[in-house]
Amino acid sequence: MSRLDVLVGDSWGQRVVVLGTLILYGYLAVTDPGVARAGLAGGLSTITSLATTIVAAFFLASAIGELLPEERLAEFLGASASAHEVVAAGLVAGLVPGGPYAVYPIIDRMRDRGADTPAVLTMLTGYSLISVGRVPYGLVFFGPHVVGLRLLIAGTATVAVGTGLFGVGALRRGT
Amino acid sequence: MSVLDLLIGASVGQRVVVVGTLVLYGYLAVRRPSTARAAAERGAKTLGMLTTLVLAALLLASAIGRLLPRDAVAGLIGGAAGVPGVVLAGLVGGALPGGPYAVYPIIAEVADNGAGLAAVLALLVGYGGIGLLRVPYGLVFFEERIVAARVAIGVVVTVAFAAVIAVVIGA
Repeated sequence: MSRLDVLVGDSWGQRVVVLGTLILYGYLAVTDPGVARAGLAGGLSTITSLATTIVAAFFLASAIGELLPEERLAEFLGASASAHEVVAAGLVAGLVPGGPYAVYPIIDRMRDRGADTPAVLTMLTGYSLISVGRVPYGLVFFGPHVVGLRLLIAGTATVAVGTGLFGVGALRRGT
Repeated sequence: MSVLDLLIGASVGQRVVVVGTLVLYGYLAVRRPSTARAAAERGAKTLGMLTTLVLAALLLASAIGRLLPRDAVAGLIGGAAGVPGVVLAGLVGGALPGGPYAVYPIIAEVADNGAGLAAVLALLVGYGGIGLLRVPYGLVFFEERIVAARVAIGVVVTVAFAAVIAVVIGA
């Protein structure tokens, strides 16, 4: 990986993020300096408050990756995974605490160790929809009734998505 | 925010990540030192490669959050009705930036503006399922096709469940 890749990313998607951020802040600095300042201050505050967590998440994901038995993971979440295993992966991902800065590296590492695309997408979906870490905030603003309904919908959707993705994966493999 | 919050995180989720990492590495350092070393080296290398992207993603989310017209969102969804209104609420939820500590108050404001239970649930489902502002962070770790597929699945799930919620609960 070259120094340029480290600075602006090595895929077009990553470059869009880095260059898009620079362009947006450049534009705001000219057209609305107050918003640019507030955005920068808010972003730096978030970075400061999350710095330890982000660093820890990278090391945690790496350690989990080292500890995951590659053959077993490939068996459970790889091409030979059953629908139940794919769905279970999505539901378990929904129980992992933390923002994407903490959870994405772990899912990425599981993919490195053999998890197939249907399992990866089901985990991303389960994490996004269920996200039990949001429950305390939900209880503060909406109460148990709404939180319970949200979790019911999220769990049902994760099961449906996992089953559907398993089916798509099986069709593409011709099994 | 206290020094302790800065060090181990302010929320339970953050603390689980930070303390869990320390406990796991402590255990590995004693029981499997070579694994601890390999994991730490790999973690540091990945962190070094992705630092610029992580910083950019967080700054981008902050700027977009400042640009969102919150009152307009509350007014738009608060007055929405019927299946189209609830579906619209779900899609708007997918574009709300920030963590739940930032977005849930906006949704609560929408509820105060007259939105029904169906619209509130659709907003919550859309916010989680689509999570447009998680795209930059997703691109740090996954290929474009994975991120696009995640968002597409989120849109389909949001639209489908919003329509069902609107019919079952009533918009």
